[in-house]
Amino acid sequence: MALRVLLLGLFHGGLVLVLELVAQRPLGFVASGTRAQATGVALSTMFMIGSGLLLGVRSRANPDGPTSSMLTPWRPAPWPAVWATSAWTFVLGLLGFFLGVPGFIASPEAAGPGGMARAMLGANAVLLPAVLLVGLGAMLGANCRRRTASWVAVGLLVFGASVATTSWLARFVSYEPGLIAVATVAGVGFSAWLVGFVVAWAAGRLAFVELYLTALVLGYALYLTFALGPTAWTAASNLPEEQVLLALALFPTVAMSALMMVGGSLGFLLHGGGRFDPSFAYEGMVAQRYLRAHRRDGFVGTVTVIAVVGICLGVMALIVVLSIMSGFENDLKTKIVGAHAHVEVNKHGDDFTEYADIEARVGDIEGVLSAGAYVFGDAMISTDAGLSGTLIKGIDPAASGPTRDLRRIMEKGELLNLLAPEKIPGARPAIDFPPPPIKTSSTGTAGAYELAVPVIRDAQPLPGNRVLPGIVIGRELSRTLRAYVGDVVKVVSPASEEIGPLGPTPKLNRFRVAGVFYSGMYEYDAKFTYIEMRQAQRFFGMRKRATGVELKVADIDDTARISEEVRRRVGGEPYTVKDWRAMNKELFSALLLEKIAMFVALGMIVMVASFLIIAVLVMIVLQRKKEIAVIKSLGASDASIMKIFVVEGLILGVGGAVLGLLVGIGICAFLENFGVKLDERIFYIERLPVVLDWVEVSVIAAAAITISYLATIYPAMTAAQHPPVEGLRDD
Amino acid sequence: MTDASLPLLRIRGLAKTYWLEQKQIEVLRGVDLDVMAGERISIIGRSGSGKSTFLHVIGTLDVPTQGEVHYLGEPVFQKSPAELAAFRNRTIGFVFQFHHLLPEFSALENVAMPALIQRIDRGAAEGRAKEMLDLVGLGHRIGHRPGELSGGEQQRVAIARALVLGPRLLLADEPTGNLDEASAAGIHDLIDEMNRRTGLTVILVTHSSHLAERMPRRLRMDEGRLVPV
Repeated sequence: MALRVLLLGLFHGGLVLVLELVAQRPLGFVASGTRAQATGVALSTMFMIGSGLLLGVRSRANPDGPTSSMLTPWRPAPWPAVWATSAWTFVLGLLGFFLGVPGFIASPEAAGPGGMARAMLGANAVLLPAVLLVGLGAMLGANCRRRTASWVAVGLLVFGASVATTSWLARFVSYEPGLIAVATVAGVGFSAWLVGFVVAWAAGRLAFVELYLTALVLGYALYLTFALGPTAWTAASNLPEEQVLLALALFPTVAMSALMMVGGSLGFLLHGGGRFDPSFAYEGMVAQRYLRAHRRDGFVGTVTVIAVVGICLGVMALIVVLSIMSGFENDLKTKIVGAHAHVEVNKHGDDFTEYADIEARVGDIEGVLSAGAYVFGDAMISTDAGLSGTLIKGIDPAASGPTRDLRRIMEKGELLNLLAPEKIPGARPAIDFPPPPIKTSSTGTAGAYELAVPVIRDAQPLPGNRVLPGIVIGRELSRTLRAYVGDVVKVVSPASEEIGPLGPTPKLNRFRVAGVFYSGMYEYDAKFTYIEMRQAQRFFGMRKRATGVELKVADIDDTARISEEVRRRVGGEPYTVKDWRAMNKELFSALLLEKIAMFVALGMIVMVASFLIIAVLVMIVLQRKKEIAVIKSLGASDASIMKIFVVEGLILGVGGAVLGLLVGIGICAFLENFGVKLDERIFYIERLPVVLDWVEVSVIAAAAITISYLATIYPAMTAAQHPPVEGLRDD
Repeated sequence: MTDASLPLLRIRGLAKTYWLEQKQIEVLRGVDLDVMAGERISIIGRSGSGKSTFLHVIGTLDVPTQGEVHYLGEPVFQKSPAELAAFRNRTIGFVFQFHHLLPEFSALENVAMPALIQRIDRGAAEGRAKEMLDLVGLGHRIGHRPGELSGGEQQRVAIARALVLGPRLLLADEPTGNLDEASAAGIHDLIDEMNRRTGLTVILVTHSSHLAERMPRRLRMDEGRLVPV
């Protein structure tokens, strides 16, 4: 018998050899890290799993395996044949490598530096897991049934139909490419889940072999589509091609099979008893009694407590850390939207003269508080003490709406003094001149804001004692330049219309510091300066022109709608409309990425704890073998037994998650109310910010419960498939 | 209605082979038996002669290597696992030598368990269980856990549990093997009474020929085959 199995293995090993040669010859043994090599690796793994599958299917005639068909235990793979196949595959790998050697010698530059060594390593990297891959295939093959192929076909059909439906529906979600991608991934995920659910429901058993085979087929189909399809598909992501291909080779199969297992186990739980049975009534009672009984059992009880505490800690850490990150993000957001426009209208080219018209057109959109034009430019700012680059914004200080936030953050001085620079302390010489005749003038736009009428007293200042225009600078810049209210700063603009003997000469202006603001965001406080709009137009040589129109809105989360409306009113090209999110896209996507990384890293705690749930359940299942058999003899179906242990695991998982939620929310509430003082000079924020986002909290809770559910599947399945006679025989 | 001449169980060529570390052990070697409704049958035999395996197979807790069991003309092993579970629940009652009551549950809950598995609601299930416990003479001990009952009482609870859904077939595997003679006689009286009351078909495995003699039809398991005594 053993000889027959061995011969079978040798035959399949030979099959792998032939297939690999056929597949890899045209691809060529080229340098590693290329598309051809990645595809070669994929094809090799496919052949190895495939030959294992054949091996397993053929070994079912082997009477050494258990013969029971009713109780669906896992049949063992024909390991001698697996080893024989793997040995053959290894020989083949060496052979393939040596066949490639002449190619390396002929064109070493194609192989790249160290190409040969890398090819050798690459070949071994594929060959060493040959046993695992062939073994996986053989394991699946040995557990195939008469109708396995039909169920796989059903799975593929359901998947195709579901993906088609969800991607059709996804088109109604949005036209934004990012959202379409998310919707597509969600659709594929849902489809995988659905395949599991439908197949297990219809087959009336867990059908894991069928589901795993379906996932493998889909995974390889996806991979080969990308590997053999146009290069543009993989180039769409910014990652190196082989990384994309590697990710495609592994991730979809693993993710889809996991989702199919979840769907499959649910389908089985609900319909595995031969009819739709959503009740967990007696199963819940049994599960509770078992947990209560095992609490007194020293070892199992201890591990149970550790598992619950582990889940609790993971959930708690996730909530606290993500809330603090949200806090920092929120702080940043407040500072950004506080100091800047919420929505901006710009124009291509530099002839934005009709800004007043645009202001009027968008000013009365619902939710818009104010619209004001501005001028923006780069310059150098200096005093005797220091020098710095600066971003100068020309604004209308009298317009109450657009400057509302700036007025709020003024620390010293007066914003309105930009309009009346002579009122800036130090603007007037120490010697008092006889007062000139009083003349009033109302500068600034009328209507919107009743200006405290500035009185220009020295309309005709003496030569050499000219009143300098005012400038408002940030606290950090003020420190760097050692320029305080009343001090004079020099501003140099590289952009200038003045042509000197050596071409354009930089324009130099002197300003007097009218005020200092403090936004709480270092970059702003160190870089931004504000001057009066007309001064800016003159300084940057933009007579009658503006850089853009900025809008302040009532609800900063409503900017998507408002941007859309603004776009409609200004009529698209040449105007561009951006909201604060789009203007700071890099910053917020970096924060989001950081958050996702943190979620995954801390999620590991929950994962580890979920392994403890597996351990607890396996121990309980082993101790309860007899009771499981008895309950089965009373007529409980496999699905019903599975429910008992799924409920047990979920009690632990949900218990831990709820505890973690309570503790985590408690800690957040504590931080919010009592706070942790931070050194403002370092962190630029006075205390640890905490924002509890209920969407995040729900995602964390859902993730923790899903992971706990996944942890219950294996032990519960073992319990369900345990042959009752074994439990009864043990006496 | 079922044909009166149709046997409740028709067993043909039933064989069961185990593989134990490459060694084949033939436990049942072709058992043929017709069981008519309402019959009381005893099976005796040495330990390890395959009596328990035979009960497990006809009770669908195990599958035969060969042969078929027909229940009222219907082949049992062509059913799906889920259908077999429902079949056990409705048609068969098991009583084991070591009572196999669930230790965490009271007598009442143990007896109600088959009804709960059938999704009868808890109140109705416990009502039936209470009646059944009254019938076996344990109406006053419904709240006790198995550990708080004597051996005879435990076995009475097990019988109540086996019969709570009114099955047609009772499969008893040495139900009195662990009991003193008085308690054992009580258990047998109970089984006889149930048979008289409800026409329950009983197949009882025992190694005591004294007890076997109380049954009208006596068989012996010998080398994996059933022979009349």
